[in-house]
Amino acid sequence: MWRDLTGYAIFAFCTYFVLLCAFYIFFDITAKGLPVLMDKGTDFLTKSPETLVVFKDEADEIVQMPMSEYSVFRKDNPAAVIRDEHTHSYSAGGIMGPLVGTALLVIVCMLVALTTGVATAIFLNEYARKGRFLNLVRLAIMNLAGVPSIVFGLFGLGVFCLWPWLPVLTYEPSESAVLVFAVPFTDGWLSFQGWGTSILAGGFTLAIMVLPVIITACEEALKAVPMGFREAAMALGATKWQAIRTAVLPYAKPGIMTASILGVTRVAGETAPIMFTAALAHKGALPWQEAKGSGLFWLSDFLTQSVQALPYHIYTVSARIPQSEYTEPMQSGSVFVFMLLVMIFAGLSIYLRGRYRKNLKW
Amino acid sequence: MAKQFEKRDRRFLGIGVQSAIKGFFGGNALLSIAILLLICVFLGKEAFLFFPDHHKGLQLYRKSGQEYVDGMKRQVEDHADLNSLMAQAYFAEKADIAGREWGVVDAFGYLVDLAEDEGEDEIDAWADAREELEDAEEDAEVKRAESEARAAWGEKLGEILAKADRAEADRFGRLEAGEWERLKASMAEWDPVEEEPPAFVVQAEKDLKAKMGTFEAARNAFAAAVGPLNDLKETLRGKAMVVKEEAEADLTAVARKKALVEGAAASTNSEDRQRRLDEAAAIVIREKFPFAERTEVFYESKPEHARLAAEYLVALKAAMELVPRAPGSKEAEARLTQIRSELPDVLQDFSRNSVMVQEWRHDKPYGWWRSISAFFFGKDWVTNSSWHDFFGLLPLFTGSLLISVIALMVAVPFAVSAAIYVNQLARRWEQTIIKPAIEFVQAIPSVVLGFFGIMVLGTFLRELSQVEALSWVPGFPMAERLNILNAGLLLGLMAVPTIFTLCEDALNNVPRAFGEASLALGASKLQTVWRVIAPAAASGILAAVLLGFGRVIGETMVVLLVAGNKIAIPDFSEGIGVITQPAHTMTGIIAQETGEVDKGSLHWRALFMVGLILFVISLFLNWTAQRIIHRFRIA
Repeated sequence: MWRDLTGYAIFAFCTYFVLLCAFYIFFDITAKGLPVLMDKGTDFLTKSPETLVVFKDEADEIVQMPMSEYSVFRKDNPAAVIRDEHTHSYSAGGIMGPLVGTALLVIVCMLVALTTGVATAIFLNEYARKGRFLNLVRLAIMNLAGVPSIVFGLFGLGVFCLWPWLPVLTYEPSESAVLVFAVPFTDGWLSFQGWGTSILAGGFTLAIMVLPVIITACEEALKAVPMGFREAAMALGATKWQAIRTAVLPYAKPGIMTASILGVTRVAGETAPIMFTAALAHKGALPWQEAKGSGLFWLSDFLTQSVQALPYHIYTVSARIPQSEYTEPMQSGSVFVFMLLVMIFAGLSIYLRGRYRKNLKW
Repeated sequence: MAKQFEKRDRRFLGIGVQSAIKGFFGGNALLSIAILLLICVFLGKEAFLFFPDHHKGLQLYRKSGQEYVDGMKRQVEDHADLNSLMAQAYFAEKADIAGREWGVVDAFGYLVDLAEDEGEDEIDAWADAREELEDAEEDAEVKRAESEARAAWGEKLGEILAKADRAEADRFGRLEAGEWERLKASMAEWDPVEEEPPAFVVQAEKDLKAKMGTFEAARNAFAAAVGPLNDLKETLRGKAMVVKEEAEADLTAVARKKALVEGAAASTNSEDRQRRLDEAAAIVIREKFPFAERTEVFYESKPEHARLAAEYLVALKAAMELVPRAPGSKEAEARLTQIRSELPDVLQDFSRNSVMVQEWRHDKPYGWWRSISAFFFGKDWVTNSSWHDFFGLLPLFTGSLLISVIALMVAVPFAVSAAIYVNQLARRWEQTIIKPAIEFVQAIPSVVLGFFGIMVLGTFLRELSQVEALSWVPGFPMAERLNILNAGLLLGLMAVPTIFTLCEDALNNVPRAFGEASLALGASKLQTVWRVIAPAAASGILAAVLLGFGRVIGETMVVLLVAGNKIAIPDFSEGIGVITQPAHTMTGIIAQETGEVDKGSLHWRALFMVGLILFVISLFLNWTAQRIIHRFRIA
């Protein structure tokens, strides 16, 4: 009796201890980050990172100013007393740039990953016959799921950034382009020059990384649709594709939605794959402010820009710049916002899946 | 609706619409195979181009004589390790048997330095006044000036002594009671011009010498033994460097000359053109770099090296003879024992290196097997060095492995227990809370965990390690905040959800009849779980652990932020305490260095090679896990 109880207690302790550790991390990061967010208000979300200037004024009081404000201040008050001036990179302003960059990367990634993922899942669940090809595909997906994210980063760097046979639309083709076509009726070119460090390269890299997750989740959604639906549609004379389109996909839609949110959770939190494929530590303007041209040319220019990304920004401010008390608010604030965002998506996917599974009683 | 379901059989190029649609979906499915193959191709291409370049680099390393010099360098470095032990022994002995004398001499030295530093002007003024007084002893004016200067110095000395900080002067608390006051008092008598120390300090110096004289001589002899060899190494090092640089320049000579000539042809400025042409003319193009001629100096130095090596051995032996047999300090004895026990190995290495140096020939071909094993088993990863870049995987691999093992040791008990608890023992409402909560844990981004490791866990662990009561724990107190243990704990937390989910699946797959049969036979719930269900799910649990291992060894951000990023094989001599040292990892090195190297350089390819190894490891773990699940499936 006592031995049973002790065993029981040990198992329970292990379970709750893990949850407690995780909870402590949430708590600690919230406790440090929330005050920063309260203090800086919406500025933290609507301004981009800037260099912070710290100095002592004539009253010997420590003044902190973002670089942009500081240069205006110096111009207006050329006679101002400034002592002990020092700067801290990325420690002022907010995280608008990184937020936007992460959002763009996630959008591009999900567009690519959902298209291929859903199509693959449809093939695996609806079309494929048991055989060598199916086994091979399943093996590949399973193995792809285990590949370290940094390896995807290297792969993305090799393929999407540096391989020259990927086309862009541009007004000024690069010298390293392997093939250039003039686009009729415009003065632009279709240039095969690779995508470089860009949203596109990062998005595709992330998409490849998240593909196994999406495929598995979509397959689950398709499997949940009863066989009878397909048979009924076919019996009514529908072709295979018509049956899928009218009798399977509409009922699998909530499941596919869940899969995509699960994918967003995975992708938004990743740093390693975008380190060399998309992310940049510093960028002055937001991507749409720098894109040139019109129409498709604008889109191409827009998508081949590098961006700041929130996880990379956190890496930069917490490990790559000298640490000081003035950098801390930026660190805790960005980590808190980032964690909150990812957690919201995670919560949403868990909630949706729970609800979806509950409703799946045909 | 009827219209929608109308059968259409349009064909285009002989392909029906239905089969086209099927083809589209199948093509997407093919994509995952294609990606896997592409990863192999892209990583493999860069990685396999690595070996020829690496081989060439190592060949040049031999031909230029760098290998020859490094043989001597290893001899000198091995000696330096022993030497630092010897210094530790010496100072431990000094502190233990002559602590008081040492303290007195040091504290006096501190006071004198402080006085001479702070009272420099006063001392100078007084010294001048005294000199003048010597010339004109009877002059009342001069006499008065001298006494004024003396008074000024006395006043200054008072200030200085008031400022003197005992904690600074006697940092290790070696002074006995009352001695600090005695020292300060003696300063009043001290003559800053004559600089004669007071009698008791002189006595202390004498005692110190009497007690430590032989040891000091031994230590000095020990340190000096390697001197001539080191000098030879330094001279040759510079020469090898020059040979290497010239040989490398030779490789690009043709291309540079061509570029200069082309530049001159395109140049419009006649002066500029002439300059380019002159530069081009200055580049000598040689069929073959004359290594034999340029490395003659190394061959010539071989007898000298042999002589110096022999002399070193004699000097070392003599120095060891001088070392006191029975030191008074335990610490010193421990260090000396360590030196004596390490000495045979060091001497063996020394003679092996001597043989290597003597047998070195610039034209001996470098074996392929050696250059390949230099990557896989090389102990150095040195890049951007002006001497020679080494790409040895071992330090990175050891770091990755150690961190992963710690992470698993933390994660497996917790994850498996949690899975058993949730699957078998917990109440229903607990299940509905715990499972999503653990999925939440999985969603914590790794960079957030890394940040937590830097800011909170690192500080916490270090403070914990400094608690007196825990000093028996190996590796405590830890020197670094960011280390293997810190990274391992965080990765352990990261691996828990992965292992938990897979374990739970494995437990779910155990047929219900197993548990029911056991319960029906009168076993308790816990006995059933422990003796029946868990063994039945063992293969699944093992597979879960393997997949968890794959996840942990491939994780990047946590190790990059938290592992300490020190590229060296951790020192295993401390046993389990090795986990409190910093390390670097395979994933970390890729993340850290890939952004900064030139595309296509040897370094770049080495990083891709590391990536390929990670890829192969992850494939192997995945494959093994699947085999295990497949093989031991319960029908």
